[in-house]
Amino acid sequence: MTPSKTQGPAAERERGSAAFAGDPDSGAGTVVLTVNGDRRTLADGATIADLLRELDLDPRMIVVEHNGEILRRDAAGPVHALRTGDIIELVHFVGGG
Amino acid sequence: MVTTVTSLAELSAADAALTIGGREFRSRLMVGTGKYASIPLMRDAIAASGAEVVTVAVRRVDLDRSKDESILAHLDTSRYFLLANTAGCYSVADACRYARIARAAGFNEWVKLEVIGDEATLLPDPVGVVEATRVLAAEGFQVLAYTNDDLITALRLEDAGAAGVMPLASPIGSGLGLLNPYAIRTIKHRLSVPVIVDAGVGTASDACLTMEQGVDGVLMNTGLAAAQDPVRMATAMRHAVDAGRQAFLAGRMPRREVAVPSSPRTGMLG
Repeated sequence: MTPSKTQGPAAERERGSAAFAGDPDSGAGTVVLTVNGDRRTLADGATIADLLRELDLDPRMIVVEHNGEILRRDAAGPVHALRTGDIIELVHFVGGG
Repeated sequence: MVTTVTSLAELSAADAALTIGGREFRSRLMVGTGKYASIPLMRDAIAASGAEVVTVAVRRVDLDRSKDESILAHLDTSRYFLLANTAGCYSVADACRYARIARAAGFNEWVKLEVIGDEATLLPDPVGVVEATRVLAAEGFQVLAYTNDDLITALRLEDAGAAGVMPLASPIGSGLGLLNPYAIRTIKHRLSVPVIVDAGVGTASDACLTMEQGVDGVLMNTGLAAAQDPVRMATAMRHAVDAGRQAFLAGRMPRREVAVPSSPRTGMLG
């Protein structure tokens, strides 16, 4: 199976940015992200840590992928500022075989 | 006269530990955590199985549910060795992505690598799994590669750097048991890395027959989770894996096409 050029986080991000252009939600003071496939608006300057707090998720139980890049545990904290169009995947372990 | 009864546990202790990627395990039964009717049932069944290696899947957090808990909330990670899988991945890129995410969780560098080739049968994509094994092994992963019961693919996986090879007994979740004992035996004979048969084991006799082929271990999930009584089945599987292992080590008698009496032919009454 050859991965298509239209797939993957980078392509998704491009589409995401296009979709957000002119979006009333993406006005000044907010950032509009795609989190696990759903659009989510946060205050400007929000970080991954803010996002996790808002979603009431324990950072120790989560792996964060930011625009296709897996964040190290210590990088999932305040330093990683979010921008409109960012694609976030919040991932964890579930039951499986 | 004193009779010494050697228990299964004592016999198992006499067996060498299962060593994969430099790590030793006492149990040769590995179990999954999917499809249980409840969390307590899963926990009890895993405990009854005696397994040390427990598989988990990598998925998005469900943000719509008020409390979608990680399976880690229900597993003692100091007691069990977590083996993340790449179940549901149909491409090399996806499988590698899931493996890297799993590693970032910080438990270990192991992955049960699945690259699935067909939705209906969930049979592995042998070309994809060899390629993904090469990529991940080079990144320092201990790759346990899920594959067909095909010798050549198994050899290619070993060559690609797999820490262990996991040929199927039969398709995932089918419970059809060991369909090709010859193929599994051949793979075990030819590979240097451990061979863990994964998928398709439906009941204790399947597990026992599989271990009798000389493989290093068995991994199962649905065989326990879908049993009427998963805890009792886990106990049965634990004994079956032990029994099959002991039978293999003992060396079975040769098969004969004719009967040979067990009692003396001589000394019959006149």
